[in-house]
This record gives sequence, C-alpha cells and structure tokens, in this order.
Amino acid sequence: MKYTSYNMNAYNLHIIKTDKFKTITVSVSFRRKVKKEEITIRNLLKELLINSSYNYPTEKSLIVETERLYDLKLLSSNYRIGNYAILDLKTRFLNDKYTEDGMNEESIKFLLDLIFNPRLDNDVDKCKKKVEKSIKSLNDNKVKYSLFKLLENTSDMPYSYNSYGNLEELNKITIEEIKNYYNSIIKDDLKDVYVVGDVDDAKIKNIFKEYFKATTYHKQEVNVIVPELESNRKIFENKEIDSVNQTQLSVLCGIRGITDYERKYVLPVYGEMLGGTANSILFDAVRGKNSYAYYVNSIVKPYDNIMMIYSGIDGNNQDDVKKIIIKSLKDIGKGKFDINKFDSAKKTIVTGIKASLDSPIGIINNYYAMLLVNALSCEERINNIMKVTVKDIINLSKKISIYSYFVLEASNEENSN
Amino acid sequence: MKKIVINRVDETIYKEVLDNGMEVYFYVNKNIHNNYVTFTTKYGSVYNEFEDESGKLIKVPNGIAHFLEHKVFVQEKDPQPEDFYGKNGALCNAYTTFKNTSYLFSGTDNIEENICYLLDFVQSIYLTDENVEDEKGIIIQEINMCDDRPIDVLYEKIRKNAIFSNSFKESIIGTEKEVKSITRDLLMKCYNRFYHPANMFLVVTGNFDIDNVLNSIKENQNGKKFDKFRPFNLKIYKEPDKVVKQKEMVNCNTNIPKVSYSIKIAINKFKMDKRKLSIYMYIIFNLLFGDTSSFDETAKKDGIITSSLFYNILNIDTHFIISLINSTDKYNELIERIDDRFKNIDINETDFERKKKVLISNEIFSYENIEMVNEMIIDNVIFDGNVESDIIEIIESLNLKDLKEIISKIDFNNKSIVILKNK
Repeated sequence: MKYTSYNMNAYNLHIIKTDKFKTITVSVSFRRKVKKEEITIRNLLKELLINSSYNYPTEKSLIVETERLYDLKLLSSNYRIGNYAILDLKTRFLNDKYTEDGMNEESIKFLLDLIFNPRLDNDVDKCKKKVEKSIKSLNDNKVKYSLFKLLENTSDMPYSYNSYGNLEELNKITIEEIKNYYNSIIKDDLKDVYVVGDVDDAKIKNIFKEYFKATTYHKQEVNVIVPELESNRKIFENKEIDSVNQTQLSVLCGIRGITDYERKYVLPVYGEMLGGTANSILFDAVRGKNSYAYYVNSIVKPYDNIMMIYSGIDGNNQDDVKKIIIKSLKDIGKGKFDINKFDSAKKTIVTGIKASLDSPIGIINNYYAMLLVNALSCEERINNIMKVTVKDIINLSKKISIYSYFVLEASNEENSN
Repeated sequence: MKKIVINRVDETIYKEVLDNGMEVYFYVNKNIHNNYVTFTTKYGSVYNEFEDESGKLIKVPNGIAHFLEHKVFVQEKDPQPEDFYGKNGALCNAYTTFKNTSYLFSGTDNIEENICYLLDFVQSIYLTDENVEDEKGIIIQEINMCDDRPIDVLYEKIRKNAIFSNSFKESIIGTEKEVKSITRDLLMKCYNRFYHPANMFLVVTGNFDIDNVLNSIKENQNGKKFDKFRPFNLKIYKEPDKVVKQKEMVNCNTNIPKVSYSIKIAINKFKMDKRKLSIYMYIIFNLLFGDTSSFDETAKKDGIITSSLFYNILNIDTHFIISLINSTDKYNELIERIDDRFKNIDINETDFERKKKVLISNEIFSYENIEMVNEMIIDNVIFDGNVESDIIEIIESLNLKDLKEIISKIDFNNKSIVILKNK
C-alpha cells in the first residue's frame, strides 16, 4: 500500500495505491465548522447532489448510468466530528481490469459531474420530502430518539443539534438559497479527495486536474474539539411517557480536563470495557447478573468531551438499573474491575484497527483522521493502545461524571403483562 | 477436499466433509487481516413440528430455536464466550432465522484456538430449570423491543395475513406466552435433535492456512463422541394458494404510515430450477418497481412516494411471498398505482439486459468482503445444500421469453395489503 498526497491548491488529492481490492473507491469530503442553521440545507443538498445533474437530468437517467457503469455504487452522507460538519460523496466501482477499458475514468468523471454540474432547481420538492421523511423517522427508532432527547438540553453544544434537520426551516428553503449554499461549499469548505485501489497516480491526477472545478481556497481550519460541559452539582433528569413496550434509560456523562493521550488512547479503552460489547462491565452487571435489560451500551465521543450510556429495560427496574450504572462507574474509579475486561478491551480495539485496513472505507477513514485530529499511523496507534495502564483508566475515570438522565417511559407495559 | 471454482469470478471455495458428517467450507483472501467464521445448524424457527427419536411427530412452542441460541451461549464453567473471544480481541455473536441458527466470531489473531472454542461451546449446552427461567425475562424484553419497531410489526403482519398453515407464519422469537411455556426438557430435546454435526456446517473465511485449520478442526471433532445421526422428517404443510386476508389496517405508533403490498405465488406452477426462478422473481419486481422503473419515476414526481419501494422475497418452500414495502401518507394512491401496474406489464429488453449486468457485477463486488462471502455460502447451503459455481452463467442464461412466461403465470390479484398507521 503506497500513500501519496498532492496539494492541488483548492483541495488535497490523496491516492492510496493498493492491489488488495477489485474495486476503486473515490471519496470527496467537504468540511466546515458546524452551524445549527445550516444542518437542514446541508441535508437537502446531500439529496440534490445525487438526484440529477445537467448531463443526467432525471434521477432515473442517473441511476441507469450507474448501472451502465457496472453497477457503480454512489453514496452521499452528512456527519459530524467534533466541531466539523462533513459532507461526503463517495463512489465505489469495479476496476476496469475486470470490466472494460476506460471505465475507471468514466466512473470518476461521472462522480465529478454530479458535484460540479448539479441541477439544484430540479426535483427540489421531491428531495425536501426525503429530508422530511428522515426528520420524522426519528420517532420510529426509540434508541435514537432517546439519545436525541438526552443531548437536546445541553445549551448550544453541537451535539444538541438535531442532525436530521428542522421541518420549519426545510419548508422555507428557496432554490436561490440552495444555489448560494452550494456555491459557498464549493468555494469555502475544506476539500479532501481520497482514491483507493489499483490505480496509476499520474492518470488519476490528470483526471482530477481536468474535471475537479474548484479554484479558490479559503483556508478556515477550526478547533475540532467541542468545549466541555459545565459541572453541575445536581444531575438533570428528564422524562417522557410514550405508548411503547420497552422503557429507554439513557445517561449523559461529561468528560473534563483530559490530555490528548487520554482522548486518543485511554478513553477508547475505557469506553470499550465499560459498555462496548457483550463482554462489557455494564452488560454483565445489568443483563447478565440481573436480567434487567435486553441491551446496555456506552458510546464515547472523544471530540465532544462526552459519553453516553443507553439501555432498553423493563420500566419497573429503572431505579435498580440506575444504581447499577452509578456503582459500575464508581468501581472503575476505585480500580475495582476485572483485569480481563481491561485486556480484552485493548485487544478488541487493536483488532478493529487491523481490520479497518481490510476495507477501502476503513483505509480512507484512517487517513482522514490523520488530517482531522492528527491521528498517528495504525502501527503507532496499536502500540499506544497496548501501553494504556490500569492507572491510566483510574485517573481518567476521575474526569468523567454523570451530567443528566433521560427516561422514555413505556405506558404499554402493564397491558402486556 | 473438494475444490469449488466460482467460474468467471476466479475465486475458489474448498469443501471438506468430516467423518462425523459435518461439512466445512473455506475461503481464503491473503490480502486481508481479519477472519470471519460461522458455525451453523440447519435448524431455525420453522422447525416446530418434527419427528422425535422414536419417529413420532411432535409439536413444540414457537421461539424454541431462538431460545436455544440464547442458551447455547451460556457455558457451565467460565470463561463465557464473550470473555473468551474478548481475551483474543475477537467479537462473537449469534442469530436465528427461519431455517438456520448461526454462531460466529470475527478476529485477526488465534484463528485455530478461536475455531476450536466455537465448536466446543456450540457442541455443549448447560441447562437448568433456573437458568431457563432467568432467560425468559431477557427474551421478553427483546420481544418488547421488536414490538416497538413499526417495521418489525409490519413484517410479522405480512406473514400472518399471507400464510395459512406453514410455520413461516410464526414469529422467529415467539410470543410472550409461548416463550413462558418453554421448558428445560423441550430445549434439550430440540438441541439433541438438531445440533448434531451431520446437521451442521462450519464456514471459515479470511486469511489463514487451510491445512493447519483443517487439522485443528479434525482433531477437535475426533475427540468427541456423537450418536449416529437419524435424519428427521418435518411436518409437511398443505399451504393453500390463497392469502389469508386481503387487507388490514393496523394501529401503530408511527409518524409516517407504513404499507406493504404482498403477492403470494405458488412455486409448483413453474417447471424451473428454483435458484433461477428466484433470480427471475427478483428481476421482475426490480424492473416493475425498482429505482430505474417508470413507476418509480412518476410516483416520486407525483409525490406518492419519496423513496423507492423496497421489495422483499420470502421463499416459504411452497410459495413465494413477494412484498413491496414503503412508508408514505399517500398509501391509498400507492396501492391503486401498484394495481394498475400489474394490469399492464411491459418489459423492455435493454432494461432486462442491464439488470443482468448489475447482477453479474454484484457477484464480483461480493468477494471484496469476507462477511458477504461467508453469508453467501450459508445461503447456498441452506437453499439446496450446494455452493453454486456457475452463478454467472445462470444469470447470463436468463432470457426474455422465460421471463414473460413466468409473468403470465403469476396471479397478481392474489394479494394481501397491510397498512400501519396512527389512529
């Protein structure tokens, strides 16, 4: 695997040459500081960009073209890492060694055509409906809904924003606003292009030189790390009642004053052993020993300075589950935990890092992380993870405390018994 | 060892049958780090009436296969599977479908040790009255979780309203009442019947040395004793061709109504290889309703749907239940349009040939990912006991004449519609 990065002025072109895959993957990432008022329009743009272009004027003609290109896969997504909002357009297609000559270039041109010749005034209502549907779908997934409610009341932190968008804003968006926002993305966003596959560097560079039509470059790097939550003496608690069968209990923890080393290596190990898998401390305590829950997990967000714990439980056991979670957190701080779980957590993370090299997307994510958060190479990361000590975990746990609870209480439970 | 060359994709799968009857499949990719290994019994939720050891047909409560999946995971002595695999940095899991139950792990290191442990923990079970009772609470929580997912509720209704007697009708997990009625003895009976090596197969995919891994497997299996396998007969269902209910509205806590439009098609109407027939069915519904169909284009333009219809093909041995699924406020208009579409079907040759190209490309794509290769082997073995080596040729042999003949034999009026919405 050979990595080369080219500064193309308006953007960086990263080529990862490898004969591991029969496919070529191209990812174009746009990033800027996340702003609440831009989430909805960014989601709408994500739909419009892969709906049609001047060369493929309808969604149907566009999809027929992907099928002609040997079922080229096309994906657009919006996500957030810390303070960055990232809009990603990705394509994966069979290397033309396995299809017919010239398909590599045609496939890349196809993606760039969608990005640079979009029809932003076409099918706007249709794409708005898609965004509307995804906003409304939050209610169908009780885990996501509960986590959203948990994070909603944290003043103006980026993670409190509804990443699906806002219905009122959506309805008001005009075609002119879409065009302006698109232009500002092409002009102002930081742009990185990744190409993974068995490719010829010079050929790829030439294709991009000719078809990647962004020239200006306003470099606006932002600090990726979100500010810490203020400490609170009393833990906030919110509750909602819904006509569901299973109660959702979720917990938000603030992480304060951690070092870069803790953020990158100790925190992932802590999160993995606390609630990463079915081998975790919480899973054992809540499900295994007490049969209180069907699931319990934790997620750490290193660049948001928060951690979330969420579980689906029988509503009658709420208080007990809460007590178990509090006790589990305290026990870790006292070093009272199974050393095997600590070792397993480290090995699981190492396996994850190694396995990430098996997929083009994993490889791209690794290189993008080097750029976004100065991540080290996989080998160095593995070494550092293995060096994490029990003392590191105990020290870190002093910097983590519960901030709030959210309970989505089941009203159907009594009927069902 | 048998070598199965997947023609035109240039990939090779190896197969070995052990002395105790267990089949082992291998697929090696030297470019990767991870391994993905599954151990499957050809036993899922639909096997709820079968001949016991004495040849007597017995009926067991629904949800037993899934219950067993939970219990096989609990070992009498530590380490528990999660701890064991965790120690090796590997992840383990299990799942139950209609026709199989699979146990699996993925991990980069210690593959031989991990495989032997997989065989050991699945081939032993620890059941007490107490631990069976404890598990019921967890499974009932899982039932509650599924009942809170509108799309799961929809799938349950589709089968209930399309199928009369065939056990595909029942839910994989069972109802709360059924789960409560399951006992230690019943679990033991099913475990002994279906977890015999001759009814199981192992699929090893990843980067490893086949000889070393095979030797470890043989050594492990030779050290264990099993009774002689007695093949079993299942209850044969006489499933009527008609659906149970033509239409039902279900009250459900959801923002956007969910709708399914299912057609029930008797398989014995067609004198054709079943694998080929399944692919034709997929292509027919893709051409009629997929994202390149004129149906899709106009329904979206007119605001009837926002995303393309999802189509699900369920093969219940005697019939196909093919369901078109979407969530939309305008479900009545959608149903009318589907009705209309079935009344005048036209298939265009260019579109048909393009769909074949897509299917062929996807066969090559799937070898990029060992999990997909592994699942493909499981699906093939469960389907008819064989890994198909000429899949590309099968796809290429599909033709418009056969396609049109199949369409002419489908009764599109044999439909069942389910609508899920808030009161």
